[in-house]
Amino acid sequence: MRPPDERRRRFEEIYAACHDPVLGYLLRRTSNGDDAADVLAETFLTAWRRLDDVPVGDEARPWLYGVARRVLANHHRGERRRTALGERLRAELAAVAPPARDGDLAVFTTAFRELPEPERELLSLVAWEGLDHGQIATVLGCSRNAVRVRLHRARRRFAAALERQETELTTLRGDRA
Amino acid sequence: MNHDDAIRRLATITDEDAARRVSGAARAALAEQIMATPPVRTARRRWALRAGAPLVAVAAGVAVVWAIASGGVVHRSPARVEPAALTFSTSGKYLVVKVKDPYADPKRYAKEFAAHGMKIQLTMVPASPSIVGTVVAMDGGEGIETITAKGRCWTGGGGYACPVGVKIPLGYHRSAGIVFGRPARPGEPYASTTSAFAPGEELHCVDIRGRTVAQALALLDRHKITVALFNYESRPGWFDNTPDPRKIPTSWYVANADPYAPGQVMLAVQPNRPRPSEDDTYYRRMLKGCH
Repeated sequence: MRPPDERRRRFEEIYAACHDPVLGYLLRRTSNGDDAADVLAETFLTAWRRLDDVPVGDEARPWLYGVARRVLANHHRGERRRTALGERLRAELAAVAPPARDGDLAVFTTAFRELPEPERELLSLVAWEGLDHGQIATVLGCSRNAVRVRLHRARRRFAAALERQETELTTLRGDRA
Repeated sequence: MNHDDAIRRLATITDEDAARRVSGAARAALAEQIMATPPVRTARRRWALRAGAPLVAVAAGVAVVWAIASGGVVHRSPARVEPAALTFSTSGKYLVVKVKDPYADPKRYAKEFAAHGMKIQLTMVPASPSIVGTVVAMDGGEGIETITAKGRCWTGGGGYACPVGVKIPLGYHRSAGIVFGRPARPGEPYASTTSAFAPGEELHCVDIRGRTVAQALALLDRHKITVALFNYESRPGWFDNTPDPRKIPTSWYVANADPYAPGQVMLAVQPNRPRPSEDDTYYRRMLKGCH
């Protein structure tokens, strides 16, 4: 059965606009190229199957991040659904080692890793994906108000974690002196 | 270094770099493979074919919907034997689950679902009036579809989809969490909200965006609405909440408002007059019919 052209056109439009952002989203959250390829395939498969549910325009991207986030979480829980889709993609993504992080950022990295996953994700959606409160609400399936309140809490925790890291560093240096 | 900037630099890869790691051929191949799959989930179609067979499955799926008459807080006397929190009935190809008691302990829902062989965690959270009875969040639930009533409500994420229920394929054995909005008790803060200006919300047709704090407070007073929290940028990139109006200059402007609790809102305020919003059409549609 060949799907109607209308459907194809709409999907192709979404795919062209969101393939790279969704892939970027995934590669920033997993260093496993296989996982990234599988989750990317499953995310767009979901979009194809639920095409009528995909919001129009700019809101498609946060919607897809939301799907990708849930599929990736399932992968991490061990519910891998190895799909036959995207074989070539998997081969290409598997080949590359994850890039190293900037060494100066060690304190930030440690502080960031200390945060619980939901808060890390919130801060990442702002800083990495550049989303606003409404878009984050779409990704997480909660209200804008909840996003604002949680984001506030996450920022405060990050600042506290950072302060702790810096104090520890200073103490270490002090011990050596 | 600003914290957001620091976090930005922790990203291991940019979208542009990600794009360079995939060839055009691999990208096009995936799209073609996906579009070659049937748009309708095959598992569901199998059930639909079987729907005529007696007993095997009257239902092609399970639909969970909200069945509470709008509004009112349900008062329960603790001494009475509690009636079922959910009811299960069949309708066409579906087993329909209706929420009878939105204030029940979530464990009771889980038990009643378990009695039907399903691992569904149903939760009810206080929601602002116009999204009471809608699905406000899902956890897991891959394969579960939402039933939408497009245009009947404005959902928090900025969409018009208005999910009023879910369809669960029959024989769904994975666990899933579904969160519905229920009415808030007096004074109870909402856990889920949509825009305070949406139809059915307390500030519908009371558009205070762009007004000064002084003007907005006077207007709210007239509608017997109080401000629970002011949300403002205390230093660059850092937003704080305060319940204390003395911390907010009355010459500041209201950028937006969110429902907070029955009769209470949260105002996003800032020193400068807000620029015309980028989601202007969103509000225009929402405020249609207001003068």
